[in-house]
Amino acid sequence: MIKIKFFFIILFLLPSITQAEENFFKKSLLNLKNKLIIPNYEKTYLNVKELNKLSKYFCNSPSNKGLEELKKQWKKSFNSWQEIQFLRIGPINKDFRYESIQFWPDKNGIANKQYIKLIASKKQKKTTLENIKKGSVTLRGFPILEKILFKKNLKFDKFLNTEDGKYKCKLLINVSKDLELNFLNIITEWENLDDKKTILIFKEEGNNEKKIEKIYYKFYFNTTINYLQFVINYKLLAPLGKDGKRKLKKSESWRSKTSIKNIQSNFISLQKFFNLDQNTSFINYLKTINEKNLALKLDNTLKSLIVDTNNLDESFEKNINNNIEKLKLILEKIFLLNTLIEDDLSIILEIKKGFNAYDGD
Amino acid sequence: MKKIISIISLLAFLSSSVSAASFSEKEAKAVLVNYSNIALANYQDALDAAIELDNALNVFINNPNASTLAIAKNKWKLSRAPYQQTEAFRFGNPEVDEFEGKVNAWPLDEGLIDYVSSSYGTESDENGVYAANVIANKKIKLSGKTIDTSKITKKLLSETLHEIGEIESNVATGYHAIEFLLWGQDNNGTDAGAGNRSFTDYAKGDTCTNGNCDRRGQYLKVASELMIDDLKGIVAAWKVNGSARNDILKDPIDGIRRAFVGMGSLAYGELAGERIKLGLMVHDPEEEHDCFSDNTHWSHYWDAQSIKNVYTGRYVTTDGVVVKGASISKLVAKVDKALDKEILSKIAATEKAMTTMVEIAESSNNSMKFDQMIAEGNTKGKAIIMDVVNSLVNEARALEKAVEKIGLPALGEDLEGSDSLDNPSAVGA
Repeated sequence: MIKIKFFFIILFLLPSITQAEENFFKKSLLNLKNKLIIPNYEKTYLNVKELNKLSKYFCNSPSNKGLEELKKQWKKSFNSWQEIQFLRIGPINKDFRYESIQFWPDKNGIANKQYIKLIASKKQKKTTLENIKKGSVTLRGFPILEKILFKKNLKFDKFLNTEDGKYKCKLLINVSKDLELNFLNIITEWENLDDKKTILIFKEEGNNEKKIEKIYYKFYFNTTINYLQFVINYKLLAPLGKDGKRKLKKSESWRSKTSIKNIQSNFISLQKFFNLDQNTSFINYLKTINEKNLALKLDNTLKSLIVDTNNLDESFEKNINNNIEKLKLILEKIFLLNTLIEDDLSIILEIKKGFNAYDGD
Repeated sequence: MKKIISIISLLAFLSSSVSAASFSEKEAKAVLVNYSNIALANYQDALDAAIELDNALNVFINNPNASTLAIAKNKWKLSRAPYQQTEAFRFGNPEVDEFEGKVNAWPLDEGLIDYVSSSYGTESDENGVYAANVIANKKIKLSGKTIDTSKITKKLLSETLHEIGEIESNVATGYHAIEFLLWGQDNNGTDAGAGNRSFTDYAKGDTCTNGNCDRRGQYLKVASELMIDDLKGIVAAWKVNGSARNDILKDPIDGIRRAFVGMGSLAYGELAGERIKLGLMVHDPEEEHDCFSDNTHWSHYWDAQSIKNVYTGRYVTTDGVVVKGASISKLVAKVDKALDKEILSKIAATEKAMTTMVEIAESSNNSMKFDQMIAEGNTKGKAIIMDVVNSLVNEARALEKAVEKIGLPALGEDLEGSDSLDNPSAVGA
């Protein structure tokens, strides 16, 4: 009997969160969906829709102006994608949608090989919307559009009445249409999720924790740490190479020379991720649990990264030649951010980093 | 709430500032000695199989005919079983990773080595030697420089051609270069059939097909000898007082963590992600591991076995000798028997899914090889593959739990390119 009483006393003393705290965590996660995820997908969808429209105009009547507008719109669409790239959660993980939007990094060089073979084949059936959807992810999404539009020394007249130009035009129109529909489906599925199902999505990302606060912690921790690893390893270290041997073609979107612009957009978005809403932001939460210093360090590091990347050229190659010291400083700041999350934040939230899909070759 | 978090933080801090591992250094060392013994036995088996392959290749090159080619191909396939079982030693052992790129690099732009079909294309803006065809050409050009390829030697392959231009798909050495030279390209796409190179590609005189048969034979011979040299090196590294053994034993607690990194990275990132799921995304037979020979199902099977060997601390050599001893499984069971049981059941589930894949691939009636399974619209094939992927993911998640349970530090320490992470200035020149 004494043992039973003792058990209940202990149970009573065990920490548990209040209803207000539970509501806070739920509201924060729901805000992410409504104020960050859906709006960013919508922005990207509209930009890609315009890209598809411009592709049709251009292919109907190729001109230099038309080509430049297309390229500009590709950059605009890709940049808006960069603002949501880090949130690999929910509907985008269905049916390889993420990879169909952007298959990168292409560690094995398969994308280029498949593209070369496709163009060499001139198989008409491969250009239809239906077959694009069913086909390889490397022949869908932003990267293949970039390959067509940003080919070195490309002139608009390559699209005038040549077999190659006509073939590529079909691809431009239908690949961009496929991309547009992909984003539309993602938005629709997010909108159709009720609050309970939305929380379940975050729960799956949070290693299926049972407690809402753990779901919240793990989601923020895993999303940030995995993405920082991605940026460090693939967007920066891979093209920087080792011992001064650069591998510039490993940088993201090297053909359109937007690699650094991408990273800036990533940090703008991460900063929003942490500061979404005055009352329910993660930064604000850290302050309420007496972690003001860490909150400030995180926020300030993100802000300074946005400023620093803004001071660089958008192209990785130009920065290697002219701004290597600035690039190295940015890398150091990202390492610092990584450490803040992986060490300091992990202790506070009691979380350890696990394996992720970027492990391996 | 704030008070609770503060107490939790303090406890976490206190527990992390003293040794958190649930096992002693002595226990860790015992496990790692067994781990090293398994690595040694395993790499020795791989070396022995490579020597048998080399013997068969010599017979074939000296007397090319359908029979000697078939024997050589069979020896190649047999050599994959012990090698693939070594892959769990990757990712946590830098010396293994250094060596691996020389013997098992994949995929390759095979046009660097030999003739290819027209569908391969003639040039790539990502690889200046995409279709250089070293066998046919005594000089090749890259970035304006001329490279003398008149003599096909170990030095040419290993020091000049392999990853030339810092491009990883310029694979000039190892299992897959040899595979390509034996089978040729698999031009069947996602239909049935492997590469179908004729033995006459090595014939002497007028019966030689596709030209340069002598150079082709020379390339094959040299690639095989080079692979043996590389395997000898890694065997030596795992012997008592060898460099790889000493390295993992120098800090036994960290050594256990590195063993987990190997298992988890292989299960989740490499196998489940890169090697298996990728095929479903791109529907391309080039994205299957043993793409020329259609042997991929076996390579994946043995890779999964590799993880089991390391976790259970048990390896069965090609001759049937059992190498076993202290194991990671026992370390986990000491702290949480149920978790150890869970991990073992997840490993068994992977083995079952892999066995299904192998049985279907090897079936004498309506077989379906990996490159057929990944074909567009093949729902049955997709289901088989996703079973494998999901079981590997579950295995990795269970291993993650074990890392935490036995009190090891976070796995983030072994991020790829960690040298550069520790020393950012190393990336500048």
